[in-house]
Amino acid sequence: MIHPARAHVGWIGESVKRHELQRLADEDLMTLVDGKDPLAFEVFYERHGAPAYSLAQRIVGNAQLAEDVTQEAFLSIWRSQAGYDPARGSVRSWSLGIVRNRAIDALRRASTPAPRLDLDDEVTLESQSAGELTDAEAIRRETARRVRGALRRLPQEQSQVIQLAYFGGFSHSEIAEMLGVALGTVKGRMRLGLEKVRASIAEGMSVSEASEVLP
Amino acid sequence: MSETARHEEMRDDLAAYALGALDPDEASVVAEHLASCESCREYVRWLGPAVDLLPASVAQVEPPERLRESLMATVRAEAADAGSVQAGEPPARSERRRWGDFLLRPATALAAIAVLAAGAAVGYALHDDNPERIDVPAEATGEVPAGAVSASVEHGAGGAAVLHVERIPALDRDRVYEAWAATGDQVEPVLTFRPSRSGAFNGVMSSDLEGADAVLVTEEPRQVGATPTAAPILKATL
Repeated sequence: MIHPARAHVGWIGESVKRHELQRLADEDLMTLVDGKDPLAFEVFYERHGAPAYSLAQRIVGNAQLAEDVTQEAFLSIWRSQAGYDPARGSVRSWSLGIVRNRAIDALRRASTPAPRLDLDDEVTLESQSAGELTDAEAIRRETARRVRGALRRLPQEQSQVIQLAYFGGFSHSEIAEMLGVALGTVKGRMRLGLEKVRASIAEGMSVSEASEVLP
Repeated sequence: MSETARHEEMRDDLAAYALGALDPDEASVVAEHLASCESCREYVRWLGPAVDLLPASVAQVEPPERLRESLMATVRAEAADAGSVQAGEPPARSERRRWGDFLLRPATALAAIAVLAAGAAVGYALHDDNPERIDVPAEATGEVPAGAVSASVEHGAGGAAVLHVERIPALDRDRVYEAWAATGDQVEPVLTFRPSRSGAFNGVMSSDLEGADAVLVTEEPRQVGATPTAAPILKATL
């Protein structure tokens, strides 16, 4: 028996198909993207474009370069023969991983110094009032708030190595040289910091919930 | 060094590995260790969300509209060049291939004939609360264990045809499922999909199935051709 809401599905043109696509789970949407459906790809971009562009801008520290990186990353997803594999994790973390790699490559190509590594200003984060948020968006923002809080609470030396590695794309040996500390010290700080962030995320939220509410 | 101490020391490397901060040689050593150590794999899995959620700490900024315009212009042009199905348009009639071509393949002919024979006895439409939309159950054909998969095709009233699938077997990375609309001896591809981890999928087909006799689902290579390469595993007789 189909759900009554589905019984009224009427699909003639693009706008109706877009509505249907917007209701699909990420994994199902990716199947259509893999099948080279441009409208499915546009819906995929609508869902993940802003977090991707935000991450790219955070890494490269330059709006124009971030735009180039985001375009390059999304086109690589569109053109990919391999496609999305659910075993790699959520669609959001998979696509952001691609954006991060492209951004770090661009940073290295441009030989520009990594952007500032302090945490972003909370004021710039939210432009939409709470009343306008969907439940999913509200959960995402709560998760974002929790992660930012966790990073802020870390001792500076732990937060620093995590951010140099993740957003700066530096290896632990490069970080050790940069900071003038032993390699083991860098790895120890990474571990302690990540374990604390992980514990903070889990407070009041299951692992599966946390995985589903990527930024 | 005790086993516990060895794992404890390894955890520093695992955190750096999860962050992508190891040099390539070291990353290979850790990956090799992970392949044989469940305890360390569990630790990396546990740590995963801490890394995956790091982008959440970033200020969210809206990309400029020109980025979407530029991206979609490229995507639509490439899709048109590749002859892929455009939004709202079923494949052109010329893209359809004769179902008989597939039946003539020796490896699949017997299985397909069995499917068609079985389909003659099952698959009548079940009407739901809306008399204009019908939900046709699809029958497993023996290519998958009986009762393992549940599927139906919802169509009619001039609306979209929608495929609902549950508990369909997982696929290798280079494989997909393809739904085909069969009309007489012709078939046309109407939906390519990979199921979720739970084996579920719901998707809109590129045809409203008007005039079609059946919907068949086959397992195909990722680059789906114009005709099926395998016997159907599901069939819904419309």
